[in-house]
Amino acid sequence: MRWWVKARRVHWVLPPTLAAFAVLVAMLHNLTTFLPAFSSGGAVQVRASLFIPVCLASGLMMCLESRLEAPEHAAQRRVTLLDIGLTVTFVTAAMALSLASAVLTTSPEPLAIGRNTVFLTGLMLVARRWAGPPAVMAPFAWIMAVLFVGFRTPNDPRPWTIIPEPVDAVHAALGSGVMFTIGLIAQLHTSRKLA
Amino acid sequence: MTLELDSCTYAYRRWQAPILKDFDYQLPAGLTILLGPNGAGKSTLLRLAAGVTRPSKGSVRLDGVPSLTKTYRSAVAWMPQTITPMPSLTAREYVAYVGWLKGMSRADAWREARRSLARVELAGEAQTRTSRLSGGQLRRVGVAASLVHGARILLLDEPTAGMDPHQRRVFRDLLNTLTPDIRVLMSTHDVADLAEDADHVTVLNKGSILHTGTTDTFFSHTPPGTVAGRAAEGAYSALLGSTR
Repeated sequence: MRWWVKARRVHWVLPPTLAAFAVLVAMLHNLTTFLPAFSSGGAVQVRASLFIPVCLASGLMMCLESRLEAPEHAAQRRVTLLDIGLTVTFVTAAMALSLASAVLTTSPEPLAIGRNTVFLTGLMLVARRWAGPPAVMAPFAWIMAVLFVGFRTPNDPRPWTIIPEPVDAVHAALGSGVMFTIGLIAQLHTSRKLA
Repeated sequence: MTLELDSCTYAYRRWQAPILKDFDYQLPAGLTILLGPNGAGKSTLLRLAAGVTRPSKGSVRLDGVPSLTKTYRSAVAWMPQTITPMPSLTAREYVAYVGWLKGMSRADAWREARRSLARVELAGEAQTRTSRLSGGQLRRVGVAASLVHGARILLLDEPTAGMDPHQRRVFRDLLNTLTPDIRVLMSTHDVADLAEDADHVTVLNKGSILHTGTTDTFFSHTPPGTVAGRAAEGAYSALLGSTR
């Protein structure tokens, strides 16, 4: 397992990614900005924190794609469960950091960042099933789609958007959980497909 | 020990024409050289035999054990055309990791990795990161990785590409020490260089076997008047020419 950790570059990627995530959450959780939109008549006011999960998803993808493709295809010992464990570790650590930040700042906003990380990571894993490494762009593409066509009015996101929803939106929490679960299943199938 | 492909059909995409169709093959003892032009199906044959690709029709078995099983995978080693360097792993860690993936214990994999690297004359580079190795050295790491777990069948996809003449010589000597015990199927484009070391030669073209048999029967296809030292190339060209 030590060599698997080294092959995935977990020791190089995970700590700095989580550190960057924590710093960004602390710095940007209350920052809002105006961005252009098609569906809400010009511009929407969005939280800059929508983009934070992208850094964590990118770090995870870097680890998952750092592999010995052929030997892992032909392996007798499967590393699929280790890869799924790595994904869960990334997301759990992000959730823990979000929770800690919410407690320290007495703001619910970091919890929404944690929820969005769960959703966007799941989305990326689903996209990876078909697109491979370029799926790292899927979270960013989702955010762009939400910004451009995801708002009925500047402050009223459509339900399917998930990420701009307030932290107490039940459907967004459920949607994130479902997307992450589908992502993990897709990751299992991605490994089988690669094998 | 019999590795057998029985009526195998394989296409990379469902809507594409199959690379191999109703393909039958039995790997002979010793060293078998797999020849054929690009796109002939050599790599596909090796992937099917390695158990990393499932045929859409037919079966691949080793002594009756189907491919894609742990027993099968532990008996077969496959070295693909491309060896990806891993910046975070040294040559020894790379080989040991492959051994661990093949089911070896950590201690065994670590010990055997050293021996395998010595067999390909890379003991001195054991602590070098794979991203710092040359293309030829990386291929030798790939060969060492395919030897590490003591496979009974060795499948090598153009292993000598990028090796200098001395390393080719080392590699040929290594193959000669291996082949009494294990069966080797090796694809190559180096017809003249390697055909004379082989026990058997199989020539593929467009997914079909043009020739399979002993090296002597392969050389019997050499056209009269072929320049000395070019017999293998002559035989290969004659076989391919007969289909055009």
